Amino acid sequence: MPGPDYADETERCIVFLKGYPADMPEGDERAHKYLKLLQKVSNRQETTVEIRLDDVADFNEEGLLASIQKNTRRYASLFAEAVDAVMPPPTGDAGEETVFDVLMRQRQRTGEGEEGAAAPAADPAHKLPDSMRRTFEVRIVPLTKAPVMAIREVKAADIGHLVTIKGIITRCTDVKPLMAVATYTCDECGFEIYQEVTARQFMPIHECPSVRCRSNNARGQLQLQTRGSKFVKFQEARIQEMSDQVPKGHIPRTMSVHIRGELTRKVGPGDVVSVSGIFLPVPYTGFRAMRAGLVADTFLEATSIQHMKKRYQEYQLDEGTQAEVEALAEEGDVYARLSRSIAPEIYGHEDVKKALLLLLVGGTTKQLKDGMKIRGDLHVCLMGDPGVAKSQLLKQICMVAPRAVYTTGKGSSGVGLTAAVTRDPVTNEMVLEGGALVLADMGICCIDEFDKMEESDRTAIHEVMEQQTVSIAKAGITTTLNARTSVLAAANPAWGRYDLRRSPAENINLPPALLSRFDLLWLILDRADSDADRRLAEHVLHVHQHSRAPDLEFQPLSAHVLRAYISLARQHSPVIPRELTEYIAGAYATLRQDEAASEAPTTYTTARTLLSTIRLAQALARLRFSGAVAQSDVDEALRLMQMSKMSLQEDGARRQGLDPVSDIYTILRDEAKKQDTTHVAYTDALNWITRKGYNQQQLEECLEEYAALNVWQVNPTSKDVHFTDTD
Amino acid sequence: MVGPATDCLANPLGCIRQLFDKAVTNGMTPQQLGSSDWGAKEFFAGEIAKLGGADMVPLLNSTSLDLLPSGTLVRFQGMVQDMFDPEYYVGAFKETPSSTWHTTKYTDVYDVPIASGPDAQVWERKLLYCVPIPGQSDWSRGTRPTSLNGPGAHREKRPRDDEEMSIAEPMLEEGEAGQESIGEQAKRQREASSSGMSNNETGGCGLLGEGMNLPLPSLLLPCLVKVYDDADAGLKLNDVAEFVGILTFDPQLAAAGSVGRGEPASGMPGEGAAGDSLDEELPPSLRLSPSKVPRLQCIYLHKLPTLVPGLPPPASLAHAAAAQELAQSASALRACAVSLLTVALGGDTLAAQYLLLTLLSKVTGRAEPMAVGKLALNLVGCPAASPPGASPLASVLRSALPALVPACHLLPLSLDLLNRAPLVPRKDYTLNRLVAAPLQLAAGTVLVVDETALQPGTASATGVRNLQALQHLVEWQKLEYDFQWYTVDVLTDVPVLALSEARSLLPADVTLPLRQTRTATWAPLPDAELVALRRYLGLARQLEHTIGEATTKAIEDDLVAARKGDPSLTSQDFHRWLTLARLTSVSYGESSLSMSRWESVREMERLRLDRLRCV
Repeated sequence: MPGPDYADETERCIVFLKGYPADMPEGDERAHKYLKLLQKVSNRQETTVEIRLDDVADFNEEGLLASIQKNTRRYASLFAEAVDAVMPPPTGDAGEETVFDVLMRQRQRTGEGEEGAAAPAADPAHKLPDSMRRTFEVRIVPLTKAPVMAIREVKAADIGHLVTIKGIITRCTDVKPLMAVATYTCDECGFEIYQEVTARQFMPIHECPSVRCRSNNARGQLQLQTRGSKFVKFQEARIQEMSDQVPKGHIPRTMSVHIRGELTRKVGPGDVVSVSGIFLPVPYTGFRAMRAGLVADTFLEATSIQHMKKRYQEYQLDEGTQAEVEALAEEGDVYARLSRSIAPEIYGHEDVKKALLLLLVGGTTKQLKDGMKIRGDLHVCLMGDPGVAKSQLLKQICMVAPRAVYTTGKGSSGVGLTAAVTRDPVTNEMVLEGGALVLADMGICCIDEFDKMEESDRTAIHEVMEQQTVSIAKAGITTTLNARTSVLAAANPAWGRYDLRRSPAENINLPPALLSRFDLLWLILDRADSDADRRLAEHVLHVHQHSRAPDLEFQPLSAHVLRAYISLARQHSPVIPRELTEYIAGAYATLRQDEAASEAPTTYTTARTLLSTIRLAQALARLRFSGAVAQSDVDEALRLMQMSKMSLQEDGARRQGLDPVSDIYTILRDEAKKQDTTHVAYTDALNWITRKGYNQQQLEECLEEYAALNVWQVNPTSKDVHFTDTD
Repeated sequence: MVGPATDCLANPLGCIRQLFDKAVTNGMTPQQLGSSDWGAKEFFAGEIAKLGGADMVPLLNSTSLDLLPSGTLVRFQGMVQDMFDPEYYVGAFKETPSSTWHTTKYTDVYDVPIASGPDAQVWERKLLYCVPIPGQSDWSRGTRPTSLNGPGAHREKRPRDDEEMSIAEPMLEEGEAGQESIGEQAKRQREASSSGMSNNETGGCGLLGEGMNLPLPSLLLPCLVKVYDDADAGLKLNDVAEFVGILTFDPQLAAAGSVGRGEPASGMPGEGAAGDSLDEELPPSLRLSPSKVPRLQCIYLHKLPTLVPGLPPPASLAHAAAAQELAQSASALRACAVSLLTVALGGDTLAAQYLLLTLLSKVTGRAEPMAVGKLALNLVGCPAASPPGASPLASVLRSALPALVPACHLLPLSLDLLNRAPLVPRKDYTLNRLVAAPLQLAAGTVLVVDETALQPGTASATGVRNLQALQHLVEWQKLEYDFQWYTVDVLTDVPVLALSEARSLLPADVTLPLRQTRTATWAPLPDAELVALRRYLGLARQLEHTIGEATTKAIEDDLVAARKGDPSLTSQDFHRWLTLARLTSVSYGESSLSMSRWESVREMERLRLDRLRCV
C-alpha cells in the first residue's frame, strides 16, 4: 500500500492556510483568516492555532478533510510544519524578551557562527527540532456537526481518528510539565544536543552523539538542561459515560483523556463535557508490557473541550428537534399536549400537570430601577394523601427540567437546603457548601416532605422564595448566595391523611406566611368514587395480565422535545399590554371582595396573589411564543388559581349548597350588576365562569335552564344573554 | 500446544488456528477477519454436542483449576459482577519473512514475536468480571463432571512454577500479614456453607481488599471472561451465564504479577491511591493476579434462566412437558412444601403458605416504577435471640431455605453491619472497578433480612443509606448503584423475607404476625423428596400464567365492590391480591387463574387482616 506523499500533503496544508477563505474580496474583514491568526501568533498575542475542520470542509480541497479526520495526529504535525513555512515575521514590538527568546537567539548565533568554521551544523545531532522553535500549538477542531459519540461507540476501527465523545469527568490529575524537547549540553564539545520526546517516557541520552565527540572518541558526558528544555503543560483525566448513555444493566465505560497545553485546567471532576480528540493506542512499556501481553492501552488526545451547558439559555437545539418543536407549535393545543406529557403514566390530574408545566416555563423576572427584584419563578406546592403520586410528579419534573435538584425536607446531608460552612478535610479551610436550593440556582428545586423540614431550613426558605437569595452568617463568613430557583414542594397533611372533618387550615401543617409564597397550592385527595374505582381496577388487572402498564391513549411527547419547547418558550419575555392591566386589577378586586364576603376564608388573597396571576399569565403567553400577554392567558391563570383554591375547599361551591347551574347564574348576575348592564356577551360570560372553575357545558346548561324560567333571553346565534328583569 | 489439532477439548487453540487459516485461504480481508469468528462458535458447539453435551466440558472452579492445563476448553458458570473497559489487542498480523497471517484471538499469550507493521490489526474484546453466584446452594452447583472424569482432560497436575501451586491451598497456607483474611474467610465460609446458607457475618467489608471482589464470600473462584465479537449481546450486569471457552494462563504473566513490585498484584484499594497520577495505574484487567483469577477466552456463552439443575429452558418442548407433569403433581408437592415450611416456622400454616408464595414470586414485568409480581413478606413477632445475634427462626431458615431454593442470602440487619460498609455496589474510581457489596445478587436469590438482630443505637450516614437502599429494593426491586457523580438504576428480582419483632422497617407487601405453636425446627426430608420439591419450586416459578376474560371481569367487579365497602383500599392492595392470586395459582401448577383460587386468596387475606387487627 503506497502511503500518501506527506510533502505533498504539507503543501496542501500551506495552500489552505494561505488561501482560506477563498474568493474573499481584498479588504474584507474575513479574508486571510489564518494568515491573520498567524500574524498574531508571530506577535506573541496568540499561542494556539486552531484549524477548524468546518473551514477545511468549506475550502473544498479534495479529500483533505477525510484524510485529516482519519489520520489526525499526522496532519496536526503537517499543519505545524505548514505554519512554520508561512509564518510571517513579527510586526511591531514583540514585547519584553523572555528567557526563551534569549536562548533562541543564543542558539541561532551558535548555529551561524559554526557554519563558517567546521560546519558541524550539518551534523544532525545539533539540529534544532522544529518543535523547539515553535511558540504555538496546533489544534484541530472537529466539525461542529460532527456526531457526539458515547464512549461505548468508539471502536477499534476508530483508532487514529478524530472523535467527539460526551461524558462526565471522574478524575483528573494536577497539571504537570511534560518534556517535549530535552536539551543536553556536552561536557566535551560544549554543544547543545536536543532530543524530541513524543511519548510519555523517554530514554535519556548519556553519550554525546555529535560528530566532534564521536570522531575524537571523547565520550562526552551529557547534562540535562532543565531550563533549556521545552515543556508543555500536561494533564490526564478520566471520562465516564453519562447515565443516559449506558444501556440498562450495563456498567458505564471510561476512557482516559490526555490534555496538553492551553487545554489543561479546563475540566474538574464532575464536569459534564464533550471532548474531541484523537483516539490513540499506546503499547504498555517496561514491566507493564509483561503483564499486558498483547494488549495496548488507549487514550484520547484531546484537541478541544467543551463544557455542556445545562441551562435553558444555552440549550442547543439540533435541527431535528427544532423542526419538531416548530411543528408542535403550529399544530396548536400545545398547552394541553405538553401538560399531558408530564408524567403521562399518572392518570388524570390535568390541572396539576398544567400548573407544573407553567412552573417549568416560569414568568419573567423584573429588576426595578431601585434595585428591587420581582421574581418570575413560580412556586407550587402539592399537598395530599400518601400514595397519590406526589413524589412521582416531583421526580418527573426533575427529569424534564434541565437543571433540577430533588431533595427531601429531611435530607440526610448536613448541608441541608440552604448552605453550610464546613471544614475542608484536605486543606483544613472553612468552605461554604451550597445546599439543594443553591445548587438549583436558575433551575427547579423539588422538595419532598416539605412539612417535615428542619425548622432552620423553613426560616431560610422564606427568603429563598421571595428574595431568591440565601444569606449566610456562620463561622465568620457572611455572604449572600443566589438561589434563583422555582420551588416545587410536596407535603403530607398534618395527620398523615387528609381529614375531611377538619378545616383546610388545620390539615395543612404549614404557616400562612410560607403558604402565601406559593403561587399555586394543590390538594390532591384520594377520593373514592365508583368510576375511578373501576378505572383503577381495570388498570391493576391490565398490569397483572400483561405485566406492563396499559398503553396510553395518546402519544406523549418525549422529555427531550418537552425540554426543547420549554427552552424556546423561555426565550420570550411577554409584557402586559396597558389595556389588560385594568382587567387584571378588576379580577383581583373581585377576588378580594369574594374573600371578604365569605364567612370562612380559606386562602389569603394578597398582593402576592396579583403577582402570581401575572406570572402565570406570562408563562402562558410564553407557551404561545408570544411577546404579549393576552386576555385568554389571564383568564386561564385565574381559572388555575380558582381550581387550586377549589381543590382546597373540598368540593368548592357544592359545599355552599349551590349546584353549578345556580352558581353560574349567581356569577353572571353579579358580574352584570357590577358592570351595570343587562346585556352580557357570551364570551364574557364564558370567561367569568371559567375563572370560577366551571366549563362551557355547564354554562350552556345554565343558559338554557334560566332562559326557560324567563330570567333572561338568550340570543340563539351569538348566545349573548339579556337579562329580562332590570332591577 | 499439545494433542492433535482436532481435539477441541485439549487443543482448542489448534482448532481456532485451523479455522483462521481456512478463513484466510478463503480470501477474507483483514477487516472481515476482524468481524467474524470464522465459524468457531458453530464448530465448537457441534463438537461438544458430538462428545455428549456441555457436561463433558470440564467445569472451571477452585478444585479443578490446578488440574486444568492452560489452553484447554473449559466451562464456567458465574454472575457478571462488573464490566471492564474493552481491551484493544493486536488480533492479527503478518509474519514478516513468510508473509503468513497469524491470529492472537482467543489467547493472551503468543509464542511468535508479534510483528507490528501496517498490517497489524487492532481488534477489541470485552471483559466481563464474573463471580461465583452469590449465595448459591451446594446442590444447585451440582456435582457435574469436572476435569477428573471429563474425557480428554489432562489428568496430571499442570506443571507450574513452585510458587504457583494450586489455588485453594496457597490461599489457606499463605496466612500472613496482608493476606490472612482470605484463608480465614475461606475456613469460616467452609463451615458456613457446610451448614447451609451462606451467612455473611462480615457484611460488606472490603472484599475488594482481597482482590476477588465477591459480593458474598465464596470458596469458588471469580473468572475474567474475555468476550469476542459481541457474543455478550443481551448479557447484563448480574446475569448468570455459562461461558464456554479457552482457559489461558501464562506463567510469564503470572510471574510478573507475583514478583512485580512486590505487591500481591490483586488490586489493593490503597495501591492505586498511592500514586496520584493516573499514569501509575493499570486497568483492573491487568492488575488481577492470573493465579487467583483465571482468564477465560469465551467462544460462546448462554444465559442460565434458572439455577435449578435439570430444568428445561422456558419456551421449549421439554418445558411444556414439564408443565404438564407439574400440573399433576403440584397439589401433593405443594402440601409437602407447606408442611415442611410450617414446621420450619414453628407450626404456622398461614405463614408457611405466604412464605411459599414469596419463594415462588418473581418480577414478571414492570409498569414503571412498579415491579409487577414481586412479593416481599414480613413476618412480625419473630422471637429475638436472647443474646443479640441471629434469631432462632433465622438459624432454622438458614438451613431450611438453601435446601429448597438454588440461591439465598441471610442478612442479619445489625447496626454494626449497617454502619460498617455500603450494602450497595459502588464504583471505585481509583481502581476503576465496581466494588461488590452484599446486595449485588443474581435474579431469583432469596434475601432474608433478619431485623431481630437490630439493637437501638445510632445509624451513621452509611447506615441510613444502606437502610434506604434496602427499602428501595423491597419497594421497587431496584438498586441504585453508586457511581459517585450519578447513580445507575439496576433492576433486581430478589424475593425478600423480613423477620422482625414489630413491624418491619422495610415496606413489605405482606405483613403477617407469626403465630408459633412450637419451636421452629428444620426437619430435613430424604434427598429424593427434596429433589422433587426443588424441581417443583423451580418449575412453578417459571410457569407462564394468564388471567382469562371472564375471570378478569369477575375480579374487576369484585375489586370495585371491595372498594365501595372499604374506601381505604388502595391500588397497592389490589396489586397485592392479584400477585397473590397468580402465585397461588402457579403453586398448584395451574397456568390460568380460576375464581376459586381468587376466593381462596381473598380468604387468606381476611385471615391475615384478622391477625393484624389482633396485634
